[in-house]
Amino acid sequence: MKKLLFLLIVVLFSQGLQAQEEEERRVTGQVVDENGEGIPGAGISVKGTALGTVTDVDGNFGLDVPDNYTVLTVQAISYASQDVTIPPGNSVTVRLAPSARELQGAVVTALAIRREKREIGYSATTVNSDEINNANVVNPLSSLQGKVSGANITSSTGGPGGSTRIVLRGEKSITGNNNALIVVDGVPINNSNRLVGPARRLTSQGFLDPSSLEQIDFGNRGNDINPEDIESITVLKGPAAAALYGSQAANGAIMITTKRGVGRPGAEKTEITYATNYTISSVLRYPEFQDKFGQGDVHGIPNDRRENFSWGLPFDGQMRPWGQIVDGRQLVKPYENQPDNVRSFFRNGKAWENSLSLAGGNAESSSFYIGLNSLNSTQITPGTFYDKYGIRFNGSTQLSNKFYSSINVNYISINSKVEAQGQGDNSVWSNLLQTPRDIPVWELERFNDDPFYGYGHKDTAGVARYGYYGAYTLNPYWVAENFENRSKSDRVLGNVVVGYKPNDLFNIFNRVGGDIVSDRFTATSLKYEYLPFEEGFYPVQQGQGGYTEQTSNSINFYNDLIANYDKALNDDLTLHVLLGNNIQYSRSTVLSGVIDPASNGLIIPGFYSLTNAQGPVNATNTRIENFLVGLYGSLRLDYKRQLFLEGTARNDWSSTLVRNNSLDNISFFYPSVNASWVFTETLKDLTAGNIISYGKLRAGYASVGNAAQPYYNNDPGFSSAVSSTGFGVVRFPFNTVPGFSYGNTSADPDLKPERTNSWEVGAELELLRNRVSLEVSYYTQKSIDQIVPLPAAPSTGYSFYITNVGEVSNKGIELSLRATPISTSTGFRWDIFGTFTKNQNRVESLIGGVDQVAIGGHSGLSIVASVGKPYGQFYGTDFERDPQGRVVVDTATGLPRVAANPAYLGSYQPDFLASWGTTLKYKGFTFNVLFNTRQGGKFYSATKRNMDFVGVAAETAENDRQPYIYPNSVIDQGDGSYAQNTSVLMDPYDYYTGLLQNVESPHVIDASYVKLRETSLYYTFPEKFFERTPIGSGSIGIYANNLFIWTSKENVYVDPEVNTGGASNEQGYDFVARPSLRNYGISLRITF
Amino acid sequence: MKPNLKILVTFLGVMLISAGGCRRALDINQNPNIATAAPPELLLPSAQVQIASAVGVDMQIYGSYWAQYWTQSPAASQYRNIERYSPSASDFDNVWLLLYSGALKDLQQMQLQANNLGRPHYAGIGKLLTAYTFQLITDVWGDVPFTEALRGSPSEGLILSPKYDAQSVIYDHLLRMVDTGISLMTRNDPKSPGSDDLIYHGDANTWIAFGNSLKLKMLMRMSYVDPGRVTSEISGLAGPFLEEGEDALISFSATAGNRNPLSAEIQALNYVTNIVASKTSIDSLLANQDPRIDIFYEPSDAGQIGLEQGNYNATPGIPLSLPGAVTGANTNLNTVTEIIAGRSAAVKLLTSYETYFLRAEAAARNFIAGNAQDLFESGIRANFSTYGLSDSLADAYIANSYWGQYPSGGSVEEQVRHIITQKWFSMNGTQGVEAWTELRRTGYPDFLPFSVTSLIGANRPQRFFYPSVELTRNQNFPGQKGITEPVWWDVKQ
Repeated sequence: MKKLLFLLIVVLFSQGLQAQEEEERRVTGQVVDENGEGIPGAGISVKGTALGTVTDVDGNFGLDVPDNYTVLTVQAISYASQDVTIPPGNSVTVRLAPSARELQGAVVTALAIRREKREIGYSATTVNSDEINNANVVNPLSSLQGKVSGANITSSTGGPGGSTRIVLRGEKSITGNNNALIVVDGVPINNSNRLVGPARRLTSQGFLDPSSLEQIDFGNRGNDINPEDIESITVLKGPAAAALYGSQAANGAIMITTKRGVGRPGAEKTEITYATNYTISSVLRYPEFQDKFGQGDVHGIPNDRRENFSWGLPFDGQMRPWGQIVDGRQLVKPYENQPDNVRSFFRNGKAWENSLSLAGGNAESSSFYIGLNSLNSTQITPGTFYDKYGIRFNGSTQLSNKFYSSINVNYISINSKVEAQGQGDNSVWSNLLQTPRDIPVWELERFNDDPFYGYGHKDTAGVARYGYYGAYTLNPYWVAENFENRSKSDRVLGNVVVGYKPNDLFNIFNRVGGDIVSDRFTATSLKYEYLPFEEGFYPVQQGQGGYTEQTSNSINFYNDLIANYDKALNDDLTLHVLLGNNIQYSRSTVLSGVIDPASNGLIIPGFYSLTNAQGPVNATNTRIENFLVGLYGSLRLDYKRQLFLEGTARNDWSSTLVRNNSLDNISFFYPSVNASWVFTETLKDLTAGNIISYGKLRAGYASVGNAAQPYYNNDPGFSSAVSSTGFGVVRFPFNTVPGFSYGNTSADPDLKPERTNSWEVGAELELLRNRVSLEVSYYTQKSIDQIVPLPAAPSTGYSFYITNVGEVSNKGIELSLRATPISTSTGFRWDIFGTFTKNQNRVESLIGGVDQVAIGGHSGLSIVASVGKPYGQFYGTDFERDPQGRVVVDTATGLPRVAANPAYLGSYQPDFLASWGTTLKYKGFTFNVLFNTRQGGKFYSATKRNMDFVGVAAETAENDRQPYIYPNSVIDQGDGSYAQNTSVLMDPYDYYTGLLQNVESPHVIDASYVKLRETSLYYTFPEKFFERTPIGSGSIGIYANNLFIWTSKENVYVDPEVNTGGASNEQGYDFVARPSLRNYGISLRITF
Repeated sequence: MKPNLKILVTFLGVMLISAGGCRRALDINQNPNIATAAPPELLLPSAQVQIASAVGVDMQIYGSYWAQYWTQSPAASQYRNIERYSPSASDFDNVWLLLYSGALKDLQQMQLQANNLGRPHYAGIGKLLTAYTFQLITDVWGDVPFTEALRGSPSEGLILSPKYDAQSVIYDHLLRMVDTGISLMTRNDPKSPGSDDLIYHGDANTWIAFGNSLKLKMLMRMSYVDPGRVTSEISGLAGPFLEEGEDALISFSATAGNRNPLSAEIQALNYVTNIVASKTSIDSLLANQDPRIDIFYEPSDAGQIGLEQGNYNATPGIPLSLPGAVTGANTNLNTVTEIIAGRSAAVKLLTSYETYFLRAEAAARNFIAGNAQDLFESGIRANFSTYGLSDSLADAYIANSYWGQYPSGGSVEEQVRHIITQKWFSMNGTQGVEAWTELRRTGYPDFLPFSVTSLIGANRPQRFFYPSVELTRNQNFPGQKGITEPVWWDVKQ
């Protein structure tokens, strides 16, 4: 990575050379290693200028040097840099010595300790700031997509504020968190999901039901960090890598390192960088609509003007009245398809990002980095926006008395308004999809001006009425304006390090980190009651109105006290000892008041105050606290810089295992060990001149413990009673009588910590003189003693029983490849890059007799962890099938028969993930493209289900809606045999509007995709361009991310990455999720 | 090396002290968001409201559709599967949850505390309501967990898969449970319940009458399957029984959150009209010139019109009667008074008129002494009076209508036919599940057609499906039963 960055800089800077008019001379030469072999890709620069070039495959170079410069600086990865004076003949051979001290390809490991990549016995991938910001992906976690093998990353919206889920090496926890730990500058940060909505109810499946209720996804907290502040991200994929983080490390870690003032080229002066970009967003994927039939219900009123059904008559192009009769007038339009009736609703999203940074100081004493940034955006749904402002200060200083200190502080303020998902009244997307194919949606925007489109217009008698055409839906423009979901967050996070380093061998430091978030969330739901203009035909439309206000505060405190000691035992063997103490404390409090439109309501419409409620406001406060103390240590042996062995051990004491004031058994211990062998170093004589220039083999084992969630081992307890029916509720106090109800969750009071045991082996190779690098890992992991709220039969008196159960295994292979097929002395360079990830996940066991645990979904379709199957299995209602899997149809109706029991319909686990990227550089131009793909796996689309129901999906128009034989169906012969159905026709109307409302299996479809994830073209101006300005350098570029998608044939609906479950375990769940975005824009970056 | 060693020792010391000092800080795992204890007076109303939510919503809807008081409106689709006689297992999850892990668990906890605190009336009411609830459960599902139920935590024995007990065994237990409940109510309790008892405000005598009436209901349920048992049990059952004005019901109010649970359900569904009057009921009420029709139904603009049972494919927009305010199921009430009446409609668990009809049946079958006709007519008068209809209206109805005239000279079967059909009239829209249950037991009323959209042909549902929460989670679940399979006491051909 470093090499690439370096080369990039060199190449960009070198191209200005060609235009030199002043006196100069051609210097040629070769850069060789200690054995006399040419070093390809070494950087040559003219000291004191920005001029330079790189060596070709054989280490040769040629460079035009202005006459008044005489010194060249030569740099290459793994070698000490060297200054050489140009000899009189203008020809030079530079022999570089391998660097001993310099960290070669340094990676940031657990606890933010920088280590040389060769030393570590596990997989760690580093992505640097250029790669992160190439396509200006606004969410830093999403910017890793396609760049890291072993990572399964899903970005639900692709726009600002959306959720990003990163799962490294497969899901390990059945109902717990599976997201990778996010660590910023050594301190784990809050990466909580912000999926909010009205109180979700417990359902049969034992989880909280999102169906029919609105859900609002404000994204997850890990995305709050400004991408411009990031220097690099190292992904520690396995538990072995992250073992020192203890409990949280089982899921691997994303180590984000922010920029600092030192270590930059030209660190002497303060560098000021201004970057700006302007991004336009639009919907990436619209569903495919049918274009033959319009509003109506052929089995009801064929031209019913009230319908959300497009099950009317075939289009005939004739003028036809539509909508209500308003004061004796009625709208008329041709009865024909409106191809743009959904897409016209969305406008382009626009985002403008600005960032200004100052970096200064020097490595010997003090340095600082200040970053200021803003993101202002309006989103595709009218009225929605996402604004973010951030300030970062990173400073470090080396004090004279062997003490040193650093401070990182980041303040982030986010203000956003987001559309609801799901199929509630407040869901814009749901209302829009139900618009019949012939309704011109764009006209509905005039709901304030025109009684035919809106609500509350007065009739001739002065009565407020609605004239909107639809009886069963709401005007989406009006919904967008009147149902608001807002969040405003303020967040401060950072850390302070104070250290003492009396000599080269000893180092002791304390790092205290904090992450404080305050958030205010409000959701409004309009109170309305409108009589129709056409009474008796149109129904009354009403909503009781509601308001939710929720204030949450959270604090995460994290302290590490670490001592390092290095000792050379002899010339060949060095010992490194690390001891540490860790204290973690987190507390979150939520205060919320809900006026629920379903069970309560507003008194005065439009007045959003908790005092404006028809009944008692549902007010709740919760406090959750968690404390953990850990002691850890690591011992490393380094033999001749070619063989490395490391062992770590950690013991934790967790408050979440405390029960009944007894502090026994709350401690748990876990070790890890890893080794790495740089065999090219050992076998130098054998490999010299070979195609392998660098090779390393590695292996690691780790066992990581994980404590319970707070209060998991508590007795059920009592809380104020709420009696819920299918949709409604009765609350206490009941009139004036208070009532409490016993809890529904019983627990094993003696919960043990969860444990993940993992093995990994891998190899890292540099081939063909570093032209090709290859990294491969194989791993196997078993997660046991999982702490799971097991759904209990309600006849036990409980809905859940929390206990240690089950085992989940993951094994897989991950591969990444990087190659430079062409690199010429003229500065043309072509790089290619690819990753491949295959993970096999299996739920090995649960508790005796329990087959599965639900992790999401709704009543007809749950997402489960089921024994013997990959995690995230869709389990839902299905058709009856013969032994060959063909659908059995009813002999009378021709409709598929419904199977008695739900079926397993596939899991959201992909078969494999892969990516392919390339970079072309020439002169000042850099062109970059990155594709990624996910193959296999399923997702559930309620978007499809709803489109089928209302008859707008393309498939509903098959055979012009004349009865047809259900494809490849069979008839039950009654004697256990089945015969191909060749005669019994089914009515697609009955199939789509009736049967498919009870059978979910056709809505679980292939989630495969190929995406053009990123592409960009940048031009870096020649130095000369800015000669008479204070500007030092500048570049301009165009970029795009999430630009195109190709999906499997059966998915003509949505981007399979959309998800209403945010970054939770509920994945592959499009419960009428908001569409994902295609983003493209222009950027400018200048440095002073 | 020495300074380094010193630092190291200091460092280790600091670490150990910090680890030790954290012991107290670690002791923060008691959930502050829930209460660790709640006295019986907080648990009783919770259990009562949960029973009312089950009886008043899902059981009311299934019962009132299958007893043909109501039918699915063509304008919406929420309950079409009920009319098709093809609900799914998961449709019954919520009501099962409400009763088992809701009401029964709270009643169990209440009795536990009542026994510890020496509060016999809470214990007695706990027994009576537990028996009531289990009868409700077993009558619609048949064999269910009983002896091993409600023991799902480690301190209770951790039975995660309670076995299913035969319905006959459960009935045996329930009869004894009612006896125990009644005897507890006869004991003196210095701190008996007050307003926290939403049904009888702690009145022990009415609870005793409730217990007797409940036992009578249980025994009559066994009248076909085990008449010998009824005879032996009923001899000790002298009353008192529930009399007019002593209905076991829970009153709701118009206050949001405290509304009739069916009215709340309809509000949550945005007042979409799903429930309309069934032609079966409307026509039979009209045929008998029954004045209760305007109580049970809100007439359409074109008068009292019912929709053919299950014919939700009829053209929308035709005028249809809607359920009356007393049911809490009306969606389109025109005045504030009516809206308030609908939202405050009571949920009825066991009524005086139901008890009169039970006694009439027991007398007609000669299980007890007494004049069946008098009891039958008392039942009608009590029902009229509940809805503010005068005795003279009741008398006119008794005198003139087919179903009001008791066939005192007829066979026992004819008498029972009249009693049960009259009970069916009296429970319209308020005791749907009991009306459907009595229909299953006796076959009366005998004029109910099959839903036109029935997917099981000329059959009717004889039970609820076991819920998916049970069949997927209970290892001892014995297997799903067909919807037409009768329960134990349902033996009449």
